[in-house]
Amino acid sequence: MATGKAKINTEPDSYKNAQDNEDSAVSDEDRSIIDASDLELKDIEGIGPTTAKKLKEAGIISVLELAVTSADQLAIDIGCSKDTAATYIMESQRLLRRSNVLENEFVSASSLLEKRKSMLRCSTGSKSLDELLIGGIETQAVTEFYGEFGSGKSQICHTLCAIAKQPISDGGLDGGVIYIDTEGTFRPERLNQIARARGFNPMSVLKNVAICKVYNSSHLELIIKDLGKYINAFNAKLIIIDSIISLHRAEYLGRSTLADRQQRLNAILHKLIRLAEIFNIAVVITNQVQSSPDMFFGDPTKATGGNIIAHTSTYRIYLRKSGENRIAKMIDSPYHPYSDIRFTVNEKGTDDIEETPKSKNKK
Amino acid sequence: MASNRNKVQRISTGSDSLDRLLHGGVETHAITEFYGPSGAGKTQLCHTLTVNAILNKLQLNKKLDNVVYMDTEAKFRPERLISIAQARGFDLDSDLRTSWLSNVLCVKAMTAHQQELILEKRLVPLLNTQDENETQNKIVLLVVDSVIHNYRAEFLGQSTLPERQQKLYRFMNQLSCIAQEYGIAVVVTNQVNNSCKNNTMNNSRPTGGNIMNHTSTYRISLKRLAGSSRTIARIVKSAYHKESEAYFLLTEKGIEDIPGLC
Repeated sequence: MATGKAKINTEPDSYKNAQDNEDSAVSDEDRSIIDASDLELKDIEGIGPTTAKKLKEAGIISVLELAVTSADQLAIDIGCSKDTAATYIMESQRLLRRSNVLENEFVSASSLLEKRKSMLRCSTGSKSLDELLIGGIETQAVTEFYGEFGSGKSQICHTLCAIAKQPISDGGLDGGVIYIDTEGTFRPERLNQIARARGFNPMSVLKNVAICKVYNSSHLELIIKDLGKYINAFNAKLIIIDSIISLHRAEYLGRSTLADRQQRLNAILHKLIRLAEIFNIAVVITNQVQSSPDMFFGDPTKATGGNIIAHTSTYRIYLRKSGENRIAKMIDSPYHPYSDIRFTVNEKGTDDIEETPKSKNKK
Repeated sequence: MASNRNKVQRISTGSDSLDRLLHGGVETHAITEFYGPSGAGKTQLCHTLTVNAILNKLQLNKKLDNVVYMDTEAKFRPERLISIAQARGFDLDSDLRTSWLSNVLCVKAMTAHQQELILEKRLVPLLNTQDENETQNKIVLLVVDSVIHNYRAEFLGQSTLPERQQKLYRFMNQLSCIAQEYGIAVVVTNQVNNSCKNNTMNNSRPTGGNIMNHTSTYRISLKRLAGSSRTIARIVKSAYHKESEAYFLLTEKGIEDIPGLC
């Protein structure tokens, strides 16, 4: 670990050269991967001890956090001009790139494909749901589940909490979970039950989940702003927000406040997607539905949050009830086929439907 | 001027009906904007265009071109490029199987500021070296998916709107210069918002206001029809295309014609 830091301090020239060669878009395979947590704010070009102190006072303690802050916010937090803030952010990203935490600016798709192998997948507990997601919930992306009440959104979240602790070979992420509960639906006893039914150690699962109850939308915005700090503190690999919309939906009433609400939601989601990318973590959000009265045929349920949430979440899955079972449908994804599958909810959380003659009809 | 127009190449979108709508495909020397709600197929279209821009040259036994893919929404998936190429039946022998992917240069822009800097400080020098150096692969397509994402998240409230629009205009203007100067096809995607000013239903409009409307050369709206996998593409703005429509499907091949409807 110490070698990583020493390398940066002693060989600034070689890294400058690497920077100059960036245009050629050749990724330097020889560069050793340095653990991002070894980098310090003062390693960033142009940031001296004073600025580093200011940043720390503003709650930004690592290079990774600085890299995902928005310039506006940073300018307010440390009291500098927006351009200076933008420069700090660019420099921090450049440092990450030099240390091989981030890709070069131009990177060929083939090396990106190689890089995508560092992506982890967390199993959802149901084989058919995993199939829909081609292996499970991805890190470096925001996965959204939306559906009516009782369609299994919170159950999926609880099951993910239990599985995320498991080793990577068993479909887990081998890391902590941050569960941001806005609807007051998190139940530790349910998590205990799921862990027990799946044969995990319930105590280690429960210890692994950091719950944050959020009471109003500004509180949520504040939590998301400082999330980088908590990710480090809990070694989190999975962030769950159940649900993203409820507080904003309750507080911003009427059309006149709609634009403001949507912009605030967008800022939250933007931050989440950047955190997911830079920290290599999975972000799962749930969303509620509304019925649109202008639909005369078909399913009238629509996800709330409008175009903002629709555009920003990487993967969108629509959940709906079908008797005892649930149907999950892929609505938007850059590469999954738009198909649907069935699963069920039982004491193990989300689970496959047991083979009965009826389920042979499935798709 | 007319002879200059002869230099224009067209990149196939993968669907004959959409190609027909665009008189043969996405043009070089111009900005083509695709906008639509989430799930309409914007990102799929970008992926299919990337595959076609590179691999169609293979069939003509020409040197492969390069594509620059600027990804602001973190939705670029190299594995999807491979699956599209396979589904479209390109004859890729073992050493070309994945090595053609190195012709796709992907660049992630995480902030609006970075998006501008990449264009100005990185891409333009890259294009200049390509002009001097004939042996290097030529960049034929620049995809920006999506152009508005960072601006929309960073500039909040009415008071920052003029600044955002000015920056957006500058960015789009630079894209337009790059397209014309270097003969590149620039494809940008755009999101939609709903205006609540009038009470009519289905009033989703592209974001970015007049700026986006004025700066893109061709504007195509994409919309997924309710309850089916068909997408309807409609030319909204163009100097010479007829205002008409085309239908296509989102499939394993990226985008594809609807069988029997041609």
